Parts: sequence; structure tokens; C-alpha cells
Amino acid sequence: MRVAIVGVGMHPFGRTPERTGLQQGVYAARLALSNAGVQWKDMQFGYGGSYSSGNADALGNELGLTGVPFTNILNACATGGSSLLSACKEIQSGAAEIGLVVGFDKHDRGAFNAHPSEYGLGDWYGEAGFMLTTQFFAAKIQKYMHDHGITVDTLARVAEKAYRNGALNPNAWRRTAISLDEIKNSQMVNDPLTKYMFCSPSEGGVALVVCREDVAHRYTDKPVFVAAAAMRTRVSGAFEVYGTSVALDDVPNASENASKAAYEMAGMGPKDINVAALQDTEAGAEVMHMAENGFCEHGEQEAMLRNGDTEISGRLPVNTDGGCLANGEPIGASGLRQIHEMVLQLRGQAGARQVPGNPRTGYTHVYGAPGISAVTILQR
Amino acid sequence: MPKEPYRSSETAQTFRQYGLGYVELPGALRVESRLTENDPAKLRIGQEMELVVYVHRTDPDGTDVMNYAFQPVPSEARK
Repeated sequence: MRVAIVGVGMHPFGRTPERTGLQQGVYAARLALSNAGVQWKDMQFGYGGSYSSGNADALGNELGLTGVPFTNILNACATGGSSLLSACKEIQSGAAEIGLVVGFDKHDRGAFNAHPSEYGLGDWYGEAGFMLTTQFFAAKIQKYMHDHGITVDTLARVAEKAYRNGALNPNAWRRTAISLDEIKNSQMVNDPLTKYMFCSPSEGGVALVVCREDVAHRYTDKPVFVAAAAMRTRVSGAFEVYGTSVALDDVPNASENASKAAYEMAGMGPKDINVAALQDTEAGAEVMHMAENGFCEHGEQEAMLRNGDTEISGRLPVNTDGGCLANGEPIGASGLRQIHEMVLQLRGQAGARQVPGNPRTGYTHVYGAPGISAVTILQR
Repeated sequence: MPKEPYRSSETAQTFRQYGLGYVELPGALRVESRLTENDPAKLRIGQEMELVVYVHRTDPDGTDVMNYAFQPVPSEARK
């Protein structure tokens, strides 16, 4: 039995000094409830989380303390995916019929500075300067460019597309197109990645109302179904963020394993997907994740970006809402932002950035520390 | 300069950008390491590296805190 998404809501991403992270979550929850035509008291469960803005169940203080069983989820970049996955299991077990999934966050400016002890690593790892995710991303794309002939121009094209798509999205943070040259010549952060090739920690909130497939018609005439929701953690030897070493042999990483599990669960393959959201913490990540999620062979991205294959009008639109690059990354909300975008695309409600041809299937993928990935496949 | 948990004796004025890479230990694994060379133009994938130990910081009580890094093997030393 599939689970249906029947309501979505989003607080714009970016900087909102007048609202806490939690208030942005409440804002998104109210929109999602209203979008499904239901009330908070109708919710039979809640799953949600934030990394920096407190317990998600505190939104009951504003929405009403109804006694609802609400579980706080904290699972790094997979917080949203894990919340949706938990909600699906809750419904599929027969324990509940309808519930809320919510994620929000509000981060300070600048890079995340996680402590090694939170990841079971010694203090030395942070003191020596290894707790910087930007370094991992740069090292991974350096090797990928070396092995598969990807150029800096391709990285810049990914970022250029993100800001161009962001300009079409009223909820995006960065809504101004930036030229290829400006992207390439902006401040170098971690060679080969420049400032405009990186996303930044930001703020925002997203919520979904989900229910049992057979009652979805009560709430919407455009239900979007969860064909698959999978999450995987790292395996020994894979090249992952906050990993002290890498095996000499190629070991499939968390993204590859989550992707494979999701395709199997959905009974679909990459060719069946009409539109995708892939984790683009930086421009190189989108390039590598295209192959890791099965959408091309390693190295084909060079021609695909040059040909515009991943543009909104291309054969596989990627990050139509501007992705992390144009939206920033509020950890708890980021994965749900991708799902929110897919629901709009599959409903045909994505406005100026609507993918043509009435897309039927959408794919979302997140990746984060310390080697964790969540993938969903959605269909209408 | 990186935020905490980075901890060195450097200040924003004396901070020197550092290289970082994954160095293959033949037959074992690739280990994440600081590199003594920080100029990307002088680093390439596959070049030979050797282990060095350096003073990462000096604590207020005078204790030197050591760390490992890898440096490019000088061309005249290569076999």
C-alpha cells in the first residue's frame, strides 16, 4: 500500500530575522494543513526535526497541544527523508491514517562547525582542521574530474542553472541569475570550488500532510504517491564526509546504496524518472550525484550540462527550484524542500519553472554527514 | 581561518591556508591528511608523497602538540 502526499506547505528559504526556525516550521505546517483542507487536531501522528532550532514537537505550542504522538527526528541531512520514511511506516503498519511531516531550521552565517565527538571521532580530527565539509567535497570532485574528464566549466554550468532556476522560484533565497564568468571568478573556497559553487546554511521550513492511499481523494484531487522512500548510512571503506580514510577498492557510497534500494522498492529505473532533485551542497556534488543515482554514466555529465539536458526544458530536469545552491540549506527542511518541489511539479503547479510535458514521476536525493543518504521516488 | 573545533596557535593574521588530500598507503588504504604544500598548481593526483610530523600548535604550558602531514617527495629524492 502506497502513502499519498495530500498537502504541502513551505516557508520561504533564506534569511527571516523576524521568525525563529520553529515559527517557520509552524508557518509551513499551517500551509500544508490548509492545502490538504484538514486541521491540526485531525493529525494522528507527527514526525519532524531540526538541527539548530529545537524540537519539532514544540510546534504544538502554537498549533495546539492535542496530545498527538509526535516523534522528533534528528538525522542530519536525511532528517526530512527519515521523517517521511517513518510516516510511511506508521501508515503502512495500519497504526494511523493521516499525519504531518515537518522540518525547519535556522542556521548562523558561515560554514557548519560540527564537533568530532558527535560523530564518534577524536578531538584531534577537528583540531587539525578536518571537520570542514567543504574540504571533502573539493577532494571528491577533484578526483572525479581527474578520473572522468569533468571540467570547471561544467561545475560553473551547474551553479549557473541553479541561480537561473532560483530566479523563477518565489520561495528561493538567491533569486538573481549569476553569469558563468562571475561564478568561475568568485572567491576560491576549496579548489576547484568557488564561493558561488557552494550552498550556504540558511533558514526555512517545509511540511507535508500524508495519508493512506485509499483515503487520499478526500483531501485532494491531485495526490502524489510515495513509490519509494529509502535511507542508507555509510559502509566501511566508502569515500564519505568525515571519513578518516578510504578503501583502495571502490566501495559503493551511501547515495548509491540508497538509490539502488529506492529503485528496487518502486520497481522503477532511472529511465522512468521525469524530474529529479539531487543534493547540490556544491556544484560538483550535483555532477557526481547524477551518476551515483543512475541517471548517467560517469563522465557523461560534461556533455549533458553543455547540451542543457538537466535544464527545466531538458530531458532530465535537475533541481528545478534552484536546489541547495539557490535555496541554501536549513538542514531539517532541506530534504522536504525537494519533496515539496516534486509535488508541485507532479501536480502541474510549479509556475514559471514548471517542467513541460506533465511529468508523472519525481526523484529526490539528499546526502550529508557522516555519509548518510535518503532517496524518495514520487509518482502521480 | 576555520572556526572551532579547529585549534592551532594561528591567528586570523598568521593563518596560512593548508593543503588537504587523501594519500594512498600502498596495499592498505588512503588516509585523509593535511599536505605541507598548499598551492593547487604544485599538487597533482598520483604524485609521490612522504610522511612528516610537525608542530600543529603550542599550548599555553609550552607543550608542543604534534600532527602528521604529507609533503611532496622532492624530485631529486625520487627513485
